[in-house]
Amino acid sequence: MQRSLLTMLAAAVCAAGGIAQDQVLVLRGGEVRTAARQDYPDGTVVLHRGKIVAVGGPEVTFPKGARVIDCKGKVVTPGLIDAGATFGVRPNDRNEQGDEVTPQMSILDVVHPDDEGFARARESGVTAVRLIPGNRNVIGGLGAVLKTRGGTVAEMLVSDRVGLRVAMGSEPSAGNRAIRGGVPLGLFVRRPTTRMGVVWEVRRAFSAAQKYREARTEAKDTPPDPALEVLVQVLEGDLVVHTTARAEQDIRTALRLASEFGYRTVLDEATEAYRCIDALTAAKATCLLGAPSAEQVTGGGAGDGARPRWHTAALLAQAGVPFAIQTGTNLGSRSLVHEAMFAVRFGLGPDTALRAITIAPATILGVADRLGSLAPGKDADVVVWSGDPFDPTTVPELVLVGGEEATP
Amino acid sequence: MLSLLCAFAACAPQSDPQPPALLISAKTIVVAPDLVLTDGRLLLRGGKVAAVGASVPQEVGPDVHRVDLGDATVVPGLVVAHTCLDAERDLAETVTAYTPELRAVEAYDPYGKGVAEMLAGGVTAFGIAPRSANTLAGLAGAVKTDPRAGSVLRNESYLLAAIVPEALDQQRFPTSRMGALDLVRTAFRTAAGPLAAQTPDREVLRDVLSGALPFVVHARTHDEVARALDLADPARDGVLAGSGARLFLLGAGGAHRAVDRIAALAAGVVIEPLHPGLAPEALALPAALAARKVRLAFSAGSPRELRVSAALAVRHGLPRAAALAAMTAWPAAMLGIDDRCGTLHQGKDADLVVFDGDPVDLGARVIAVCLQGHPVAGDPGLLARD
Amino acid sequence: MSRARLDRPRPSGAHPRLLPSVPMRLFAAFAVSLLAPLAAQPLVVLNAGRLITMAGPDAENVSILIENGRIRQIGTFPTPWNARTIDARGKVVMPTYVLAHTSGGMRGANENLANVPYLTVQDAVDPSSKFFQECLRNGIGTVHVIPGNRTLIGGQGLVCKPYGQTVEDLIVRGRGGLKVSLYSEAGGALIQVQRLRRALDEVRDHIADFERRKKEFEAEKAAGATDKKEFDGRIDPTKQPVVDLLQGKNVAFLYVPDAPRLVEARRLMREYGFEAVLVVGPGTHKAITQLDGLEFPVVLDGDLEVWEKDPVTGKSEKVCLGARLYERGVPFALDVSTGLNGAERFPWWQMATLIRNGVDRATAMHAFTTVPAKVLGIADEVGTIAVGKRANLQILTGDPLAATTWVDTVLLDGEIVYERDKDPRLQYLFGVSQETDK
Repeated sequence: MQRSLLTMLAAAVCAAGGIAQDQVLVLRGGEVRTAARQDYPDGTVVLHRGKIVAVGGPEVTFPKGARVIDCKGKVVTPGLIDAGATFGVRPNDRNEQGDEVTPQMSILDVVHPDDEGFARARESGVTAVRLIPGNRNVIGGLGAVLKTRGGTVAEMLVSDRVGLRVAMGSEPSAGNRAIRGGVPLGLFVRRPTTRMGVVWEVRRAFSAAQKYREARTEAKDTPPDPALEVLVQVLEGDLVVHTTARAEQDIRTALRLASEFGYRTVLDEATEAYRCIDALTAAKATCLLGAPSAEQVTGGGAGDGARPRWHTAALLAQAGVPFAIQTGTNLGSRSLVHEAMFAVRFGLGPDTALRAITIAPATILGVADRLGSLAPGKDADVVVWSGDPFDPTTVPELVLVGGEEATP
Repeated sequence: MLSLLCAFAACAPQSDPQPPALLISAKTIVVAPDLVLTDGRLLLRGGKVAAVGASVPQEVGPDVHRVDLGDATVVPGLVVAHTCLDAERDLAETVTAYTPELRAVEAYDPYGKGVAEMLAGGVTAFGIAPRSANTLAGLAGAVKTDPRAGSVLRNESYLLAAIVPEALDQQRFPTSRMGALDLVRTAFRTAAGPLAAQTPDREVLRDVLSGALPFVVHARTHDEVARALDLADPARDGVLAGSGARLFLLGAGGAHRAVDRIAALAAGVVIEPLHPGLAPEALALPAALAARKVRLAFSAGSPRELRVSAALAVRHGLPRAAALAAMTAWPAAMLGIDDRCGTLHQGKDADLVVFDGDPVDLGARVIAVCLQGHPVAGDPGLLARD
Repeated sequence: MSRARLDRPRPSGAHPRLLPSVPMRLFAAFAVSLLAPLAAQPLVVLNAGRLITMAGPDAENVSILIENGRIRQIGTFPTPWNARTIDARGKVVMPTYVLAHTSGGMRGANENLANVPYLTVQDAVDPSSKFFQECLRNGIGTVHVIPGNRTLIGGQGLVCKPYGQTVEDLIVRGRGGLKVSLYSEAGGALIQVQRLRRALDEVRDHIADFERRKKEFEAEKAAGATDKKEFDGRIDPTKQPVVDLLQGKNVAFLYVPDAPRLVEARRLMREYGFEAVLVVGPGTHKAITQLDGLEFPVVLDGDLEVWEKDPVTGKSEKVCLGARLYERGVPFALDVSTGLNGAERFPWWQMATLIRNGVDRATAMHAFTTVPAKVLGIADEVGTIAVGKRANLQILTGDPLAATTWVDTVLLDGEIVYERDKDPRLQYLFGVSQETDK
């Protein structure tokens, strides 16, 4: 296989004992797209001890003894952030199906750092992901943001309690069935079996949380309920809800529930957002748009009846609705950079597309102080591409996570 | 060899209720992990160890039978820390995952075939545990491999919890490890809370928190072990941190990257049966743990599994003395029966095994087993050979 | 519109296919919008901004003269007064892509029976299929439709245009390859190879028997023992395609899913003496040396990138068969997926995937043009833009391998058969209408 000079150099660096933590690393001469205020056609990025120290044009200085990597002809971007990664957790662990409402469950309990999905994501330029419980529960539990490099959860963790998963649509009720005469046998003879039931479960849970909050302020010895504690955090605005909603009716329902209980929500997948731009703008909502390349919804959400359109991302951008692009649960979804590439093909501006996979998900997930753009003080999560990242023949040549080389 | 066995058999008919007094001398007598006698002597009387080594008087009474075992090696009766004896539906209560108060000894059949097999292989005591089919599976007890009734040493030796996939059930809560860990945390928080009602299950959990009862968590892969250790880690807000709880791990085959953390947070590790098909890191784990001074014991469904595990662990770096300790003194301590079993110090039960070589070597055979002073012939095939 | 001559008469009893009742309004809109202006245009001039001929260096600002569906001239020349002009200045013109082997375009990719060499795709091809619409949208102009992989000897393929109202309209070359497949369900690999052997043996015996009876007849005739003037034996028509194969008059398209089957396939080809285009699944990389020195290029089937897990270390490694063939200098043709979702339906994505894995741009582009044309034996007609060839051209908005490039127009045999701004499917995908599907 042909390897570029850059990859060989990076390999040599690795073979020579890796990029020592204390050494300054300089990426010079490439086209630097920062996803921040300004891009640099002949840019310099200086990294030290896992952080970005300086970003600028060719005039940026760096200490002697720094290791300089020549990026002429390449494009340098921040590490990509996939807000909708579906790997990293074994299938049975993704949902705690013992109950439909499990807000206190945390995805961190079931992260499998050895999952190959992390390596593959890294190799395609993704340096951080959001992992969150699945959509088989109405209220599934708490998500987290992790880096794609590291052998243990502790090493990889960026932020936990990043969002509470709530799911609209047909997925939470799929698999439940009603009692039809006789004895209710089995775990899945339970509510909800319809969309009405799903929404009712959300209402019931949040109503209980409201009562619990009152009871707790009145009587200090109210026994603590970990599930309701999480929902109270949502009601008080300290925790954002990530609602999976694909079909138009589900998106509108999600926004209605959020306004009813006064909580903040982000819409996950948002397949038919193109039909509810009005509601999204009015609610000042944010979308994590799933798989813009798809022509059909396949996988778990196929029963929602949602139909994708190709220009959804462009429409959202035009209407000023904040959004990020994620790979999501669609089985046909590509790697994150290629999903953004398809969004560009279908009319999204390339600058907006790059932000949609870097600073936009970082902001939505609350980790923009550390991730999402090339700016001094942020983590040294950087990708050097062989060309324009939105050219289908481009490959990532160097992926740095926390300043350490993370490409094989 | 035949004459030795006849000597044993002649002086100790099984039907004799009072065990004979024996003066045993052998090339190697392992009294305890740190005390090995060469050409030593051991005096057994009344089913107990009356004297060991130098404290054995030169002259013993005429009622004492002298047995010279020649080149054999004598070790304390082997102790298996965890077994389900290739069990039994009766050891898996799966309707609900929260059953900390259930006791495995109540489903223990002392006349089962597995028990006789254990005894013939040199195992004189073991921890009978509930199957790992539940999250809070229940209480393991300690029993002697005595076919006669009344062999239960302790009803409650440790509380077993399991977060391995076989403890998850898609037909009841928890279906995922998230739910399993939530169940464990909630159980301990509730038991420790001031308003907790006094029910048997909460008592068990409080005994764990006070340190009176060891807490064994069955976790196998790296991430399962990490989550189990989190329970005891103050840096991760573990429910057991800051209490007197003693955390043990069962399994841990995938935990070679977490050895330091195990050494810091766990009181010991019970190794699941090793076999040659496992990854080299899993086979080298006992050695890595022993190097960190972590106490080990073995889980085994049969004496063969026990011997193979020990041999493989030694092959991959575990010191022999540590392997033998993991089959004798350390599991006895973990099961809380070290006042009676695990070593051949004075006053302990006369449970010992005679091998024709180093017990850690697979080639060594059991020649004879003595249980509370009663000799039991070892492997019957030995008789035919002679 | 010039019609391709049928190479052989269709089996007796078959009727020319009438336009079937079309379930989708799409096809009607499609057909009406595009057929209306197509009164016979004997002369067409296409002015190209950039011309990729696939037969030499690219050219800038040239014109192509098309007469009766064939390319007559390329260069700069005065436009004939009676020629229709197509303005593609500022755009890129290149040959339409050629698919060497696909099961799209039929109603049902496979019969239930395993050994059916007498079936022909002409009887199953569906001119209104969504797959053909997708082909035009993506610049594919020639398609070898052939039965799928779940068969033993599946029947005769058809080389056709993805455009036409009737089957006769579609035909480029009446007889494609004979589909042979070593696919099997899990555990059935050996049986499949055995079945093929038996099927071929049966035909060989049949030929031998025929030859023997013919000799006997000749002998009798010479001895005056018979009145018959002519030998009246016939080869069994249901076996004829395989007879042709063994006698070198037909080419098999032999699907091989993995390395052991590849080795068996090569052995069968040597033993029975037939030629085959090997259609290889990704697993065949382990026996890649078997793909050297073949008469025909290889066709890549299935996923271009697969991950294989090493059973000892547990680590996965990415394998790209196309990249490995490129390194060995083995020529190959590419395919697109026939599904309804996913980027593998697009030739530009398939080519870009190979380039990402180290294949050079020229090889990737030839894998969709000249190589499949050669495989199908129609390299003198399609695959490049050259004088004398069919005017099968696609007009693109930019570089064919850029993500932002679209196919604007497709001409087949000099006639416009697709225009993007009239494509109802794209109007749907870029619209917000409530209709569920088009």
